[in-house]
Amino acid sequence: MSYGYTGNILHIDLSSKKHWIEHPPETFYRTYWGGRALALYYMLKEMKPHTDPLSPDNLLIFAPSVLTGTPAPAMPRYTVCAKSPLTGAQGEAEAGGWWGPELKKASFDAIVIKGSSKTPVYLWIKDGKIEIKDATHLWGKDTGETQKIIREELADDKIRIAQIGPAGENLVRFANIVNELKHFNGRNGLGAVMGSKKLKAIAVRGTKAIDLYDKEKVSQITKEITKRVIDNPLSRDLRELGTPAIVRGFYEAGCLPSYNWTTGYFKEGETLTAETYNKTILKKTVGCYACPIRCKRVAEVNEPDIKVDPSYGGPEYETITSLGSICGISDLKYIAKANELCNKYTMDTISAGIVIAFAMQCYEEGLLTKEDTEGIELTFGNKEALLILIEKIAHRQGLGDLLSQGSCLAAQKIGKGAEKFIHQVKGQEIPMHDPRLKTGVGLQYALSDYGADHMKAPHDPFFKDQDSIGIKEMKGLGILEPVSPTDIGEKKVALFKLLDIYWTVFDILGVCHFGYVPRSVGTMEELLEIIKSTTGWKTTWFELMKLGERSINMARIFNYREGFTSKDDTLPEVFYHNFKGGPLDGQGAINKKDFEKAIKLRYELMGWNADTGIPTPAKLIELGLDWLIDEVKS
Amino acid sequence: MKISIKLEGYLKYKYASNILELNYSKPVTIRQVLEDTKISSADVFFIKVGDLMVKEDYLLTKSAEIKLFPIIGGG
Repeated sequence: MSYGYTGNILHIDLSSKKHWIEHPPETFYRTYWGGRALALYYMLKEMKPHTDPLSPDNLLIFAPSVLTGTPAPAMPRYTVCAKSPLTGAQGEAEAGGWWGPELKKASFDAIVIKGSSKTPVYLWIKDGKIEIKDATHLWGKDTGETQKIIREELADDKIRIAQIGPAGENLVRFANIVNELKHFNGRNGLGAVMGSKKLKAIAVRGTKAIDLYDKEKVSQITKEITKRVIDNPLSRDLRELGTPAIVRGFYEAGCLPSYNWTTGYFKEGETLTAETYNKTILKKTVGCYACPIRCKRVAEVNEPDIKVDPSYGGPEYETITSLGSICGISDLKYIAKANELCNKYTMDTISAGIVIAFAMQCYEEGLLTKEDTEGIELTFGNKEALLILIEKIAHRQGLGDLLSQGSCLAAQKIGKGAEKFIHQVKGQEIPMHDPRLKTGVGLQYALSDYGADHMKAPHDPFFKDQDSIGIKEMKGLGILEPVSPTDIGEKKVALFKLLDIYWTVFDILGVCHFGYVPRSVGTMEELLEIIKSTTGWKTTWFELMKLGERSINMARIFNYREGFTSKDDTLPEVFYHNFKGGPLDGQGAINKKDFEKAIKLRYELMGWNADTGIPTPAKLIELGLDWLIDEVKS
Repeated sequence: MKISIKLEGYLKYKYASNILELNYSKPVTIRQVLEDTKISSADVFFIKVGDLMVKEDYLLTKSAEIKLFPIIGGG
């Protein structure tokens, strides 16, 4: 008997409209567990190098994990993987919400989709049964309309739906996938892959609870963590102020990304703080499956000139900044509206905001003219222009068509030196945490297999002091000594090797970063006990860390096959220069040589070639990836 | 001199107050102020005195308001 997983992996070929169910052995689950590790197994085995990401040959994989669906706190997440149309690298994004647990209850551990349909379709999965249904009537509809129609036509309002809006249909390279209208597989353009397959949605309904090895133990730990969540200051902060709490510190310090990264000083920052948010646009907070934290914001605006529909959630920190200060915009109501539009159309708000900020800078510098913008005065701070451009990008009209390709391709097409205004790693736009104050985050931006991402490892401040939660609670990983957030020496590199692997384990298992140390109250011991009690496997953190490392190496090989090299493990030039303006004026530059040295050391610590960053055969053998050695040799 | 400390973010939950006030008769470092108020430096990411970003070894020589900002993670 299996615990935690169903033993069923659903394969679907949308070209032939055929499906089949694979029943892998326990050793497969024990090797890959779920999420990105499981997805990368299929991507490396079944996808040829240099596959066009928007062709039928790309795989699109939805993967919860062996833990998903347990009632333990903060484990609702699932992964979507494909080759990314934004980066050309391994593409990956995790989402919370309810869809992942529902898929497990519907008897599947993952869905591997290949091919593409000639006409729009959606999948309907109910308790082990699969139907490919016509979606012609849904094509072109936004996510709210689509969810309503599917629930009505299947006559069940408890159906959970992962879907794309018009941006995914129109192959916007940073289109994303949403479930329950407000939980996103946000980055890497995976919604465009779904659109290229003419797959509008996957509707799931499951009624079979996951079999747990020790239900009582899971229940006991759940109660203990939940009780602590109520009083813990970090969890309370997430619940009461949410991620927008980050705005105040960054704004007052002068490191809030602003005006397309030209400064960290945004003098209207007070208007973007969590306190302003709570007073002006917050309707309520909501949570994901089995999560007591309830960190997610829901915004509502109901004024004569602007209305924001709360069905689509509300802007989180990343969105407030990327659709706000990075575009020079300080009106939270317009930012909430821009967020609603991105969510309705399924576009990543980070990439959308940055590509618009890039266009604003190009306009201000004379690289784009009013002729290019069809008469829009595309200056920083123009909040009406923000909303117009989001519409144009989602529907690929006018300048929006150019920007829908992401900032890298857009800059290439504009030419005239526009490349100096883009800020990306491996083609993915930089998130809203400035690595000049958190160098470990910078290392993760540079080394991330799927382009710059702020959730690749816990952030530096959690390890700054002997009393820091990361040092007190994570000694079991060998993390014993604090390191300054701005240090970029050997100890920082070694620390972030471990932290990268640690949060990669979270991503594989679908564990929310906000539920466990160092970001919150669940301990490493409790997390391990939940895993053991769910699966019945006598596992250890040693095995889990090897699992994380295994997937990092698989992604590295995938990208190597696609032509990525050590030259792609870099930071945007702006971070090698001091802050301009505000309290940090003239400070903060990361020393480029030190950073490059740190990257090389990280390669060595990972067991990769110190110059090329390619995994060595010995490392692949250690991780049970000997089947990939030929890829390295070739 | 009067030193007032304004706590931001989760610090106000953890230390059960928004503003703390202390009096000193001679110059004092922020590190000492944190010790006197039993605020763990592990919780503090940024320190601001007026418009200045400062570190814990900053010497306060006259009455001032110190703003303490908590550690900031991803999200």
